[in-house]
Amino acid sequence: MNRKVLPYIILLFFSFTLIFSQKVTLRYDKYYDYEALGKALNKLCKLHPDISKLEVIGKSSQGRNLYLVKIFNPKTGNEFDKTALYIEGNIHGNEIQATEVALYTIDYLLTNYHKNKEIKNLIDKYVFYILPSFNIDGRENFMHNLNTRNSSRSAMVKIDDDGDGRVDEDGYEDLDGDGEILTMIKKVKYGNYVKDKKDPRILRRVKPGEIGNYIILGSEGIDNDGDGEVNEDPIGYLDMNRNFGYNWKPSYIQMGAGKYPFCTSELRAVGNFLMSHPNILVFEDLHNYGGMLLRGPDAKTSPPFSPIDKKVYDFLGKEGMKIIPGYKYLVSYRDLYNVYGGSTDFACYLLGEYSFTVELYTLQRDFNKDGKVTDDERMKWNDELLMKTYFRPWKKFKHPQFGDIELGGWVKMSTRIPPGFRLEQMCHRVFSFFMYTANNLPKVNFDQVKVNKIGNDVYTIDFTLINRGRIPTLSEESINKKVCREDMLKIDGGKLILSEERLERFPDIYEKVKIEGNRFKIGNLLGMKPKHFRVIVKANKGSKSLNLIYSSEKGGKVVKKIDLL
Amino acid sequence: MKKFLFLLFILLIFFSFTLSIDYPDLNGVYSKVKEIAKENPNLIKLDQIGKSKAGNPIYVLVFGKDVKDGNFYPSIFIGANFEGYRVDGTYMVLNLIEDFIKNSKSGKLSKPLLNHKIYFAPLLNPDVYGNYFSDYQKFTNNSPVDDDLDGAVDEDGPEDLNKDGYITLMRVKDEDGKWIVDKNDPRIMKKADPKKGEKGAYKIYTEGIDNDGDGLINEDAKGGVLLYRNFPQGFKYFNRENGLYPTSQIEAREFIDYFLKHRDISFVYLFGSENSILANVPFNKENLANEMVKVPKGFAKYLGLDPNREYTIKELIKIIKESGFGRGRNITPERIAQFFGVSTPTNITKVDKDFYDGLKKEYEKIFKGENKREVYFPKGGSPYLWCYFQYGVYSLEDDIWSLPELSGKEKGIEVLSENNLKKMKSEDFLKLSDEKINGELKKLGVPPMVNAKKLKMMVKSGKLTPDKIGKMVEKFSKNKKNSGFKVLENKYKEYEKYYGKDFFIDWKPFKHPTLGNVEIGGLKPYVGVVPPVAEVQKKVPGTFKFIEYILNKFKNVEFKDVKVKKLAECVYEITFYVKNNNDFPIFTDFSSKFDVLKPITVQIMPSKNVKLLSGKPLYRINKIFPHNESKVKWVVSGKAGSKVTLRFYWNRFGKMLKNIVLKEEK
Repeated sequence: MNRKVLPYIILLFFSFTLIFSQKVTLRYDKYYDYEALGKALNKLCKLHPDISKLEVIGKSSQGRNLYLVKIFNPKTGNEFDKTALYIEGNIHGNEIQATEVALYTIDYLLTNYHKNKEIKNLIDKYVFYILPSFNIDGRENFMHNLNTRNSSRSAMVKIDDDGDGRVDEDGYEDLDGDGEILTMIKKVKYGNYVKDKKDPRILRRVKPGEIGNYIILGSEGIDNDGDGEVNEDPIGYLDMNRNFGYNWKPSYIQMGAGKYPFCTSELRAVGNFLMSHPNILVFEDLHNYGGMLLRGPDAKTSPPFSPIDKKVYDFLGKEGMKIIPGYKYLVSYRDLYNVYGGSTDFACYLLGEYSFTVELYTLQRDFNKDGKVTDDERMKWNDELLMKTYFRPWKKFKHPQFGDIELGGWVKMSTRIPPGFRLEQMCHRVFSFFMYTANNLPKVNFDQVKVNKIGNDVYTIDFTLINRGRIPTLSEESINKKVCREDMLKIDGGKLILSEERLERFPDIYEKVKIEGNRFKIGNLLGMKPKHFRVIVKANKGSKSLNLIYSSEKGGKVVKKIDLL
Repeated sequence: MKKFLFLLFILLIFFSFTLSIDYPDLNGVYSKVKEIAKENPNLIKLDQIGKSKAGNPIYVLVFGKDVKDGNFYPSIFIGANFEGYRVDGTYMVLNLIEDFIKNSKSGKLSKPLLNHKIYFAPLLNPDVYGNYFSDYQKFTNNSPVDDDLDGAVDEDGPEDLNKDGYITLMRVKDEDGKWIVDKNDPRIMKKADPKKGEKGAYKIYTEGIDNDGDGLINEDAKGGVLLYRNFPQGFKYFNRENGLYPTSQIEAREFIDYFLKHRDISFVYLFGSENSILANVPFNKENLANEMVKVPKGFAKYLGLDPNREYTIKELIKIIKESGFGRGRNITPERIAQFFGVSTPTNITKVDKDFYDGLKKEYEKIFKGENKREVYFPKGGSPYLWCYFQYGVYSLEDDIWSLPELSGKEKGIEVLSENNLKKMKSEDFLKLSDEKINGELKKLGVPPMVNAKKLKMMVKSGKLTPDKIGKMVEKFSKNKKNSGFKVLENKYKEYEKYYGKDFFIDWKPFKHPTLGNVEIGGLKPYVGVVPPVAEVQKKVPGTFKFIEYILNKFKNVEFKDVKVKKLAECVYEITFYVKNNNDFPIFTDFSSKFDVLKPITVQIMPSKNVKLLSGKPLYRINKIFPHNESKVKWVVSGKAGSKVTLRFYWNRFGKMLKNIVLKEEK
């Protein structure tokens, strides 16, 4: 054996064992709490220091770290000279699977960098910013404390919801000590519900002409403060997805809006991060549930999108529906409800980003595929796929204030969050949607460059700029509203004398573009739509080349060396 | 020689003192504030709202003390100068404090103010205060903004090229220019009107050079944001000067935090650049209940409604109340309209307008001798609007001084002036030439959809009278800044009256490094923006009187009265009274409709052997008119001598417990 090669082989061997021995194997059939999440992120990023960076961008209201992972390759260019895709999850504390989707995305990108050419290309070309858990306090509270399916959505800040001077004084109680906040029902003579004859677990509304014998009292708990209302002031309520700075409305209009935009430490940290990273072009906000890819406007009062931007959303949304079966591509305010001060509208209108809200998870309980989910089908789901763990049958209980009641119903994890066996597939499909999006991010290149000498050191340079991604380098709205800096072309190594853009072909018609010093603004580059320019340049005396520099706030930076004749 | 120099020095000091009857600089304001606090430790407490971006403290002098006798005493907040450069407002508040102290010590106040706190904040935007004393008229703060969107921030500001101590304008002859020189007053530059055969001959720039070599002059000066446009109510997005989003500026957030901490503030009086007393925001009188709205799909499904059908708001209120959605919240037509995105509350209510009109009457009475002057109502993002719409209290904004309003003739309006139209008959209006009417409508800046043809048609059909048109025109021209040609000529005459002959720096030739031969000149900074100090001094006594008038409306809200009535053996009726003794509603009408202010909560807590027979355990009160009371009634059963506790809470007042013994009322 060649002696020179041997050390390399030995080194190679060692590095293989090193990689295999240090491989992180994360499971995606379970949920990560704050500690587990921190460990997982730390391990992943430590293993891939060349392409990832774990940052703590701030602290939560209760003092936890806000982790954000940056994935990009600094060797192929500066972070801010590359287009970025931003993903945030779990802004609502109880919508926890968003974090696993984000973690899976980080995991897949990092562990496949050396294995998969597609992934390598994406990481070399673009930047991924991933914030797995925005509301880490809410997540921790949801996972470890007693909650209903819907509680712990808020930031964990103290707010006097009912204006009685007592703060967070009336939350839920686990009266029977079974570890779940269930539903309280009471048998009465005249009620509006009855128990189903075939399956007494099912409580259904009375039909017309029928008198019921049950009423629903609400979630498990007591009237702690004696004001006649039960559970009316649990911890919170500040909805962080109503506290962003665009179309913000006070809380008498928008519940949970807070006193002014970005009023908790999480929001300030994330807001500052977003505002200081203008290279973000696509913004993904992960929520649950219902299986929806939502685009804005979030509210009727936000201006409608321009047709060009709408097309971009449409192709991403429609493709997303294929990648994630069962998901629907919808418009927030029109198909759901008005949201004032939402994160996606802020990203879209004030930061010029294409923004999606992804409502993760469909329950898939429509067994007979008739488009409706009946109570029977819900029970079938619980009985046959979840081994009866999601529904607690009604049982008698003596309530200190209401007397004889019954406790039972769906448990905390039963509705909005996928069971383990469904989690990994969901993570992978949503990750695939992100990759599809990333594959369509701008890819700008110079093309058809032609140099002509017309005098001493004076040249005309004809060239084409083409974006081979389907997503424009800047949204139309961000240019119209002057939210973003237009893409710019700069000459380095000579003096720009004249610049023209070709408007028509055969015959060619050029129009002058205004010069600002040694550069000019060119608007944005739509997908697959070339722009042709001609510049007249006086090169530095005797120089043999100069650089054409394309730079975009969100579309990246491309330098083209031009050899002069 | 030395002696002479010394004398000269003394003389100089003397002159500089006599000349210094002017606005104090930032240090002057701070030392005055500290001095007032130090000299009146028994009357005044020095408090701080926070620190500005540059680290300047934002002080509040709090006059009066907390009174804890079971009543709620409303407080007033008197603040100035969110603009920063409006040094006159700061000057006014400093004078008002001193007057309050003086009159309080000498017992001359028309009513002792011991029970009410007055918060005086003379300078709410200290970072911009210094602008007034610099060479350059600049309204924004120094928050970095990339004005020209070239990726560089604050890279090209103005320079005082001719070293005359002021940054003015440069005019340069250029055949592509759009400006011409006024024939009557060669100081004035005016935009050429091609329709009149005028051809532009000049370009105008602010004084300075092209620092970054992009071919543009002073296109990205230092700063910034207008703090008084940075508040959430009516915030206008996509205008860099307003900030990226509402409360992006720390001073705005600190102000809101301070107000939320001091809920006793029940009235706000701000000195700024707009005048809500004379020109308030529009009011709403339409009935929202009959408005039709569509319900978004998701919500329609929840309520069992048809997303394609329109519902009246009245219907929706009923449906939503029945559904149990929004439990415990006050469901009003305004709320529902808002929820479905119909209208954003930007108008004050009719009831509140009447209250404001009463104040306006008094203000006009006090300043009777004053000329009618140019005033503008507060625009979106102003702190004044926030106080009324989002903090939920009555508020006023006073601009102290502005130029007298020019008559219609001075504005170049002849046929459409209010005076002319007042007497005119409909037939005569129809005889006016369309051209003349359209020309004047344009001058007034009326949108093109209103034209002579339309007006005449409406006059013909009797829908409009010339008198009504006159009033509309008057109203419109009031809300519209008019900078036409005639206007400027007349304005310059006024400037001279108030600022002296040298309010204008005459155009003088200068050799510019890139533009070549230019002339530099123009209005001195802040002429017409900040009044001469003498004008403000004149207004201090009247303003003092006006604030006294407002304070005389203040008394208290009483929570004391509880009545127990025996209805039968072991059955008692308990009535709790909340009495508003003030001359104004304790909740603005707007606040009652939207629950901007948290309602008063009254809760009954019976002891073990007492049972609540009728009434909810907790009631919320969100409306009490002046000199009216609100009652809460319960019927309980229990043996005589049993105890009941009433728990009372209002975030503006705090908590109070009241123990009651069930017995026959004597």
